[in-house]
Amino acid sequence: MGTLHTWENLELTRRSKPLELSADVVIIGSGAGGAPMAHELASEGHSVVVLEQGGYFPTESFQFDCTESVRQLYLNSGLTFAIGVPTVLCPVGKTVGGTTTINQGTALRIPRQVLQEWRVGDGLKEIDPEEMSLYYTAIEEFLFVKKADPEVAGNNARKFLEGAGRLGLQGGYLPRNAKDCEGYGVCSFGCPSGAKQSMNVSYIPEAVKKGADVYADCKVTRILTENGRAVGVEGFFKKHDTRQKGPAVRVSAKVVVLAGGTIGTPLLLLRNKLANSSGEVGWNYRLHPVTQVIPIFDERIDPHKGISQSAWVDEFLAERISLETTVLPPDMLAMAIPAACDNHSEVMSLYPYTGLIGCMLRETSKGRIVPGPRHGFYVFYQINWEDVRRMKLANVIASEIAFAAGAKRVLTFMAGHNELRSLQDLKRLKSEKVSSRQFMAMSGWHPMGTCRMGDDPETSVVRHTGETWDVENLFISDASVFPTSIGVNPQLTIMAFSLRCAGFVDEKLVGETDRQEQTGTGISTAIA
Amino acid sequence: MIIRPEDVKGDITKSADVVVIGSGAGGAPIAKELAVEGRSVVVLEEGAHYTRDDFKLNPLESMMRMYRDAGQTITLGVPSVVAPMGNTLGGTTTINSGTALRMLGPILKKWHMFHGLHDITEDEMGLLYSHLEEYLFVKKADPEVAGPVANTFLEGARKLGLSSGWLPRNAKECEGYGSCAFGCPSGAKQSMDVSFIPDASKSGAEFYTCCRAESIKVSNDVAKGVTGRFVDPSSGRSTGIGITVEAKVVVLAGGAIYSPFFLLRQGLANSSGQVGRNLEIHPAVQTVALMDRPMDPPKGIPQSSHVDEFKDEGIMLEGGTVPPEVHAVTLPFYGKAHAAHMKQYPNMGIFGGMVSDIDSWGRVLALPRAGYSPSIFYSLKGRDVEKARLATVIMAEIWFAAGAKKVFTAITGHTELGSTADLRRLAQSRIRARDIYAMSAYHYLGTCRMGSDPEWSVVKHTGETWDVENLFISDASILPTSPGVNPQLTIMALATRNAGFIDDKLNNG
Amino acid sequence: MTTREKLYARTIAPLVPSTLGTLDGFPEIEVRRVAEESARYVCGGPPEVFIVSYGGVLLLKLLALLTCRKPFKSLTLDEQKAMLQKSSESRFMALRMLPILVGLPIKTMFYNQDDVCRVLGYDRESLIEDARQHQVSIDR
Repeated sequence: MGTLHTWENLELTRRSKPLELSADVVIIGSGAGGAPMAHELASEGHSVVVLEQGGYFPTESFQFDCTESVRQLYLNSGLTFAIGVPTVLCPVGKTVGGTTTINQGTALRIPRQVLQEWRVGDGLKEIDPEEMSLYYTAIEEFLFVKKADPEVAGNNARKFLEGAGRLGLQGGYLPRNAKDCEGYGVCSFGCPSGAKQSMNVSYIPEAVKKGADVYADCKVTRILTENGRAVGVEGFFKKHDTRQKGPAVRVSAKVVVLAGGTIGTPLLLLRNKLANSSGEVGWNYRLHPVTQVIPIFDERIDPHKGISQSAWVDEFLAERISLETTVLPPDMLAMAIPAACDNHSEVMSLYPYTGLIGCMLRETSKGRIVPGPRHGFYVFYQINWEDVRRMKLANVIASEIAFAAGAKRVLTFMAGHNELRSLQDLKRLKSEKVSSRQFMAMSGWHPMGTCRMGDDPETSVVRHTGETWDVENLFISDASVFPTSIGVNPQLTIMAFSLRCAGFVDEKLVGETDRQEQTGTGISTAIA
Repeated sequence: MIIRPEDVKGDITKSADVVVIGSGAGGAPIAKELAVEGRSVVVLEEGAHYTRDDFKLNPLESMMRMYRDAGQTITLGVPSVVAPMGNTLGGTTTINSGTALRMLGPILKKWHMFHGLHDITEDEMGLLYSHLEEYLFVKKADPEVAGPVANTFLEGARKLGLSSGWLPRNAKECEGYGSCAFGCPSGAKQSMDVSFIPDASKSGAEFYTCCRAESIKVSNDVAKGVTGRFVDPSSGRSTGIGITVEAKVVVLAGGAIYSPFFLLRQGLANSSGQVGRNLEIHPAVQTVALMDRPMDPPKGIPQSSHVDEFKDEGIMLEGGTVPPEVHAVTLPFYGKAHAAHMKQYPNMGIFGGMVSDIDSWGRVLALPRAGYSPSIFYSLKGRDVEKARLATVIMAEIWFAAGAKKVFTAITGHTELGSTADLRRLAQSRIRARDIYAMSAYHYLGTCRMGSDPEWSVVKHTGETWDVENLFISDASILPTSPGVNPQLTIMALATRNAGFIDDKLNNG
Repeated sequence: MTTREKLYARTIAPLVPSTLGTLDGFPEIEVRRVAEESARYVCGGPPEVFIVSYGGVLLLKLLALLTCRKPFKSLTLDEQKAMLQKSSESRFMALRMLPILVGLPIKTMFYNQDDVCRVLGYDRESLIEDARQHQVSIDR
């Protein structure tokens, strides 16, 4: 049995002596990339240490106060922006469980076609679709993945599917990793009933039961290497809310796994000048750009009653478009609507009558992450014209669905087309060219691709196993290894790759134990 | 009755129920359907009539005689694309590879959604397709006859776990002479000239060959007939003999390049301004693999297998073997190197990848000084360039999986891939449109698109133009978007559908 | 409150009523509270966000001075609104985004208030109570 250490139970306020730890494997990050691996390796009997930069929040602390949640659970208080035209809001989680704690819980598998594209186009032939499907099945079982219950999905989803049905579009309720969900509509701000099987209530507690040690509030700054081989990490504690700095921490381990997410992982590598002989670290950043349309009905929708993301239309996946309903509590909707003064208050007063449809793209645009001063960073991302065109198309489809569902008017976030009152307005939108400058609010919720996987050390950062080409025993297990964007919510795929990577880490650890026994060193650590 | 130019002695004036311009996949089915219904039908075809006895397995001669511009039509833009099309009785069906695929399911939904074509239902299309498939003896290519190239390629695809298979073809008792694109020497391929056209003429339709339609007679926005002129089949010059056909309904079936050209020249049916726009051409890239064993490329069915794993993405890989003369043109070498490569021709396999172009821009124009020849502008853009690259990468990957020693591609800087490392370099590099130096296209469509909105489209879902009553268009130009696969069966299905509406029109008018 | 937060709150306060627009049936706007909460939120993010957001507020005020020839504070509420509205409908992206950028924290903080939420049918307390009764165990 391991422990979930927090600032409080380590009594770090009074401690100044550095913490020295040793383990078979140290995992940096406790999100979808780190947690399943921690669980898997701990079950295999390896000693596992997980270091998480964010704080630990038990289910009771999620109190429907979204603004507070954003401040506590999100990196940079949710104010992470990708600089470009338009500037894209790209929030990620910073808490035990990573972004899974604050995502919508949509649990979709990677589309077969994307996986085939990776296998053939990006040289990842070793990734066997059959094998992946085994991982997916295991995860789906573990996380109670099932389709959203139409009873609790809410009116927004029902209206959306009605509209889509009238247009003959293929769609349905989304599979979600939730158990006995009652539809509180605040998935993105910490599930208040613990129904959403995010890592903090599933893989992490289970891993702890199996013996893994998890340290929250612990920021890693260095990866220690010896002769081109990763041997541990260094960092320090920092309280997530007061930002009080605590003692330093040093973990020596046989294998180091980076699971800090698409933003955290490349930053750590770039700051350590590691694993970047290809020069690709930090490049190829994708984020699945999203814009929204808000249909306004003349009957009450009460958007907050129901699952926040529960239905989708996958008819246009091949066109790289997916439409997913999302609902937001009033304060977050107020933030999302890019209107001023009376326009804004008018829409807000109609809150009970609004719905929301998110248009998400599998984009071809790429961005870049660069480290900034004082642990800061900059994200650059310029959406290209093809994606702008596709985004307009997605908005057109979403509006069409909204009108088919009986919406009286539809708000889009495109300047010049802010409000569609009739099919005539929609036709005007169809016929006009839209530029990227017109998008008033664009967000990206699925960062991917900054340390891509491949079969060539010159163009990729990690092998298909997740191990970096340059540094032995340094693995990466998060969405940053994806060679392209995948077009659907990635959490399940990150977990599947995490399990796959765990297998290779396990092999490595077994090999490493043999090697150290032969050279007569490190027997004690092996036993520990 | 098929009337050859030598049978025509002087100017002809005729009157008929329907006059059809063009005898390809769009025109011939209409001619047959209406002739069988007892209507009097006159078809004007600019090309000459050749029969199986004329097809001597001589590609160059065939190209000179049966292709427009001797197969040298090119598009203007980056990259310049070779765009051959047929100019003979039966149109391009006479010289195509005989692939008879139904359009992809999601595409029809796209037509409903974005073009308002809710009247074209999936069930109706299904019926039309099955009727055509029966009529044209469509069945999957026989692996025995398909030849070693296709079998090797499919083996590679299977190794990679990619969805693949044999293509359905409109061929009956095909023995695999490898010459589909130059006229089927055994008459196995059920092109229009051996299927719909003989049946139509049995029912009384008259086909005037070597007869170029020149203008459509219109009064008060109602089409009244067509005037044309006979041309010399070899030079294309007018013989001075004219033809005038008065008809209740005029059907334009000149193909997606010549139909809009025809309308633009005459300034007809273009209140929407869409005529000639929205051109899609299904650009294709080729890979040539050097294998360690004999492939005997010209033997077999040129296009018999396909890898459809990426069809939803808009990439269809379809096999194509070509005779040595044509192959010589596609190799990126000169002089001795070229000769050395050509020596290895027996060990070479060729495969083609076709891209459904969504981001590219294409347009057909009738420039005043260009004479009787449309100017085709096309530039490959955005995602389509990526798709062309991806198609090349996938094909190369499959070739290597099948045991190729080398793969030659049509991408500058990556012409010769000696190993998978070279392939990886291609896979990760960024390609611009101008880097693709050899691109061809075989399926032109979209230039007079159907739609529910007269401001946005040229024809109604029935095929009748919005502007001119009784003027129907029936060819690939009315497809609002690419069907995702080889379009011939879809063109015929829509032509058969249009024939029904023309029949109604004749009954009512 | 830190100095930076105080500075931000003081600067943004005059913008609060006009940014929120006409509100029928909502509780009175507590300008001070909204401004202070906004400041706390913006200053909690990375320094770049503070710089951009604070710069935005100053620019908006400068814009008022340039277009209306009066400081923003001494404009009437309607004039303020008209100015913001005009800016948000501008052809230029920068002008269009300015009031939205500045308004972001203000709107969020106002609609985050319990009494405001209740008007919109979002009863936080009953939701908390409901969730408490439906706790899902993490044991498996």
